[in-house]
Amino acid sequence: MKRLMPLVLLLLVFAAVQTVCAADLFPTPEFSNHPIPQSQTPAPRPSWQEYLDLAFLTAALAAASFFAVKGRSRTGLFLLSIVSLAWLGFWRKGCICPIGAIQNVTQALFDKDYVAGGLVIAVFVLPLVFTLFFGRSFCASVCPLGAMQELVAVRPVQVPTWIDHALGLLAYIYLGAAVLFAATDSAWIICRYDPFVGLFRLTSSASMLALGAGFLGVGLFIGRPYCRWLCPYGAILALLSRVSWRHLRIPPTQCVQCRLCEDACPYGAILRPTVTPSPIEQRAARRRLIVVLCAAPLLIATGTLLGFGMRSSLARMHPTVQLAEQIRLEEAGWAKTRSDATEVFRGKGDSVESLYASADKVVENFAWGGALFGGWVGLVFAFKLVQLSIRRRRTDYEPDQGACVSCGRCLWYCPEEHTRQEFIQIQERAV
Amino acid sequence: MSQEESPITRRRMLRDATRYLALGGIGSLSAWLFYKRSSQAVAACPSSSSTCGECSQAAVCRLPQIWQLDPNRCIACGRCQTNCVLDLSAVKAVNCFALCGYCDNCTGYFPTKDYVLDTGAENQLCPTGAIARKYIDKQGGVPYFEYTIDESLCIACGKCVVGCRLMNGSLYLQVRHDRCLNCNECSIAVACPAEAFCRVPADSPRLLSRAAQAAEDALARKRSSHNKSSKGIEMRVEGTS
Amino acid sequence: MERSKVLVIVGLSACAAILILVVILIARIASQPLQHLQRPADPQSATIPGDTIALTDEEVALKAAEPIDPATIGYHEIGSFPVAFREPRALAVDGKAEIHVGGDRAVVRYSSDGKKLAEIALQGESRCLAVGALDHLSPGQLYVGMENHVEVYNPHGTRVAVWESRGPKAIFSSIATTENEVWVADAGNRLVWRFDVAGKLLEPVGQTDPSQHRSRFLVTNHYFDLVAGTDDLVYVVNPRLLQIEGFTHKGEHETSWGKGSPAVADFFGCCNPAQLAVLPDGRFVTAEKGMPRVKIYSRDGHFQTVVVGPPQLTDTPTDLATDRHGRVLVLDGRAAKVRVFEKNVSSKGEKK
Repeated sequence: MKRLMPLVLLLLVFAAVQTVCAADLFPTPEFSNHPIPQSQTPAPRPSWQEYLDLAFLTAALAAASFFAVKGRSRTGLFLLSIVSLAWLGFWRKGCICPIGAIQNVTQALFDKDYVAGGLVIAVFVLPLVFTLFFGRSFCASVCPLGAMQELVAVRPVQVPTWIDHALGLLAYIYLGAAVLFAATDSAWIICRYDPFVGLFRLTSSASMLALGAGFLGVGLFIGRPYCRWLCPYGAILALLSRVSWRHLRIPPTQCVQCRLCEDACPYGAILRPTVTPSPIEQRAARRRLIVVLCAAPLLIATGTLLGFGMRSSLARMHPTVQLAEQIRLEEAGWAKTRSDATEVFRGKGDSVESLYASADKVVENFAWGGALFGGWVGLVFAFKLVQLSIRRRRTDYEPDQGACVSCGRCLWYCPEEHTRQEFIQIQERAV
Repeated sequence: MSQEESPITRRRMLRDATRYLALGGIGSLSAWLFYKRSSQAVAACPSSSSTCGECSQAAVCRLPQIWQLDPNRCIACGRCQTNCVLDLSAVKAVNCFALCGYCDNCTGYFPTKDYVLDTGAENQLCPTGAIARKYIDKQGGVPYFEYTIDESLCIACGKCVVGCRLMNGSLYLQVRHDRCLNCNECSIAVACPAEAFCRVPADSPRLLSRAAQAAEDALARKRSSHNKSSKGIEMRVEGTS
Repeated sequence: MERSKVLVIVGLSACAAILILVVILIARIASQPLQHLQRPADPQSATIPGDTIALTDEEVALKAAEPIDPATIGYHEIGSFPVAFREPRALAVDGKAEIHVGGDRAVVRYSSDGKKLAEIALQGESRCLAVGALDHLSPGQLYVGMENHVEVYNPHGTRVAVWESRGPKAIFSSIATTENEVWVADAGNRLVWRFDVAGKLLEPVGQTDPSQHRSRFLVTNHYFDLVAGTDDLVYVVNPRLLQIEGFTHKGEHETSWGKGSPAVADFFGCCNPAQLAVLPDGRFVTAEKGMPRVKIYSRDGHFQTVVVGPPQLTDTPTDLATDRHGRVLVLDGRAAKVRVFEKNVSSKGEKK
């Protein structure tokens, strides 16, 4: 910063000189005994609060990881999620969160003029790193959105596996769309359609509040619907969590295959032990894998083509394209009245052709972006199909590291855990 | 157990490799983001939609950044009133006192059509009566009034701003950061037809119109020269009294 | 559950999901411009679906700056020409009907049909401009008002004098020449300076009473115009009073006229008119801010006709001038062009 100081000063001086030169001069009002007041500008949030938030986030992540992996405490995770909900949700009003930070980071990568703030980068990166080491401890009890859904999941029912798997793909598609629209500087859809942020603020548009309430209502019976099927950040975390260094384990030592945990998990994140397939089944599985592998490039290619074909519809999320469309309608005489945006545009005196040209340029960007997005969707389908076709051998009940949010419900049901906690006496077992 | 050892180790190796690869990826991503942040911390006020085209007043983009609206672009359409996520918008009308004409027949205070110079609520332009009018002086037989906005009443409809623009244009809309939640995507910015919303450095949260800036500068110059010569004026006041 | 079944169902449901998503997305996006289309044509009841803002009558009046009754308009635009300035600020016409435009750091002379003839580069930004009239001591002499001093150029464009600065508070807003004096309106000090042609300061008009802190001229912004009349008076706008005051060459107040109201015959708002010019026959041309309109008043201050108003005029004119043929020249600062207006033939006929 020191190195930059002279430059900063120079710029400041330059800016000051420029304003004096360019602006209108103005006679100061004068009164006999009334000084001209200064209009006050309320100060924004002090920056130390940002560091406080960052410290809280780090501490909460560390605590959640401890409770999930080492402490094995559902109570600890539950209490921590209440604290997180209160701090990050209701006190900090849910902004900024890592889910939305995806867009800040994306735009910082694609837009050379946009710079993501330090807090934003940290908020985005920290949960990723923790997930790589300890699983989705962020989802467990740090994320206020997750905490809210965790708290309302009182009567969770098991969702059929196929619905769970199919809907789970939505999160990846949502992630792709969010990245596409942030990269093209069109819209930040994650923030725009965040169902819970309105509840944190207690004010929002009626439709968004209804959506949030709807998610919570569904969440009474279906555990964490947003986290499982929509959360784009959860989608990234699910990928990283699969290769995490440590992860919540259901039994502390050895699984006794009592199957109690299986019913306890509201998120369908517990994998059963596998049975050895017959040779015929094995052959069929192999054939299926080959078919799926062959279909994968086809899926991706189809997705790419579809995405490319949708470029102009996708581009309509961009404000410039919207403006150009509106102007086009007005020029053609189809619009009954002019909108404020087109009035402003005409007031600026830029030529309509240059607007069309820049809109075309946006559509051109969307040709690339749409194709990549479509390819991504195809890839997601292909990946899912391949994943389902590969059989892994398991002897114990294990959490599905991708889907498991480390809520720790299963710990309450595991008899081995009860033994460890000495709820069950060894002697009784011996008897 | 022993015959299963080898595939498990292989898989574990693969997992470890993937994990550290991912860690490296995340590390380099954040390093690049921080590098970009530090290299663009100065003089990055470009004309992208997320930043101001005319923010030369704040030529140094220090971080963190917060939302503000540029009065040079604002058309006072009234969307700030309805589109803020807060029930009562974080945007408020502000009077730049250095630019104000202190007129009795203020076009920001009274409607221009059929106006009666009577401060009854039915004669005021402001729908919530948020503008306080105070008599301060009389010059050449003409009274002068000061107009102050009660921000707890202001709903950011922008009617006074439109009215004031007919004359000096000292009333303008601003995001007030004691109220603003600084949403990641400002919902007023999305709705703004004039692309007036932009991010500004947190330590200079105000954006003024050019005329207001000139007036404030002139006032500041006058004040500083006044301070310098305040002794002389005191002596003269003593002399006259 | 059998894996193959799961697989088939997953595949099918995924396809269904993406189909639904695509349909929703297309429907959503495609419906957006339609919302704009539904905005009714009548601005009086204008509401936009989605972001409904009901406009009251007052707002419509404010936004549309009420159009003027066409019957009162007695002039029409005969042409315009662009001026190559980022920010043109001043307009003056000399006895040969050549047009001088000041702004940025230059003064440019145009022929009466808009051809660029000559350019004078300046050290600073010119804010106002006057050309010595034929009855002036040195006709054709160019007086350029800078921020706080006057620079004098001869007709060939060479600088012959730089007059003393009137201090940091000064904001020169207008300049006019009489037979042997130069009058300068100073919005910053809220008074009118009188100079002789050599630049010697004479007694100013409307001096502030230092004990009272009161000005003769009530100026609330940088619009403060004056013009030399054809009747040996200099007319100065007293903006806050919405009046025009006539002063003798010695600086004595002689006459004043004008009153405020939103009516077309009066001056609107808190401080008007913003610009003033005099036609060769001594009638006045005024330009208002707020409701941008250019109007003609008789020599005794009675409203006669409108030259131009909204919607043809959207901004306060940056400066006004007249030429010897009685045409009205309007400097449009935002569009950076000079617009020329001429009296309608029919209204001429009416006069006869």
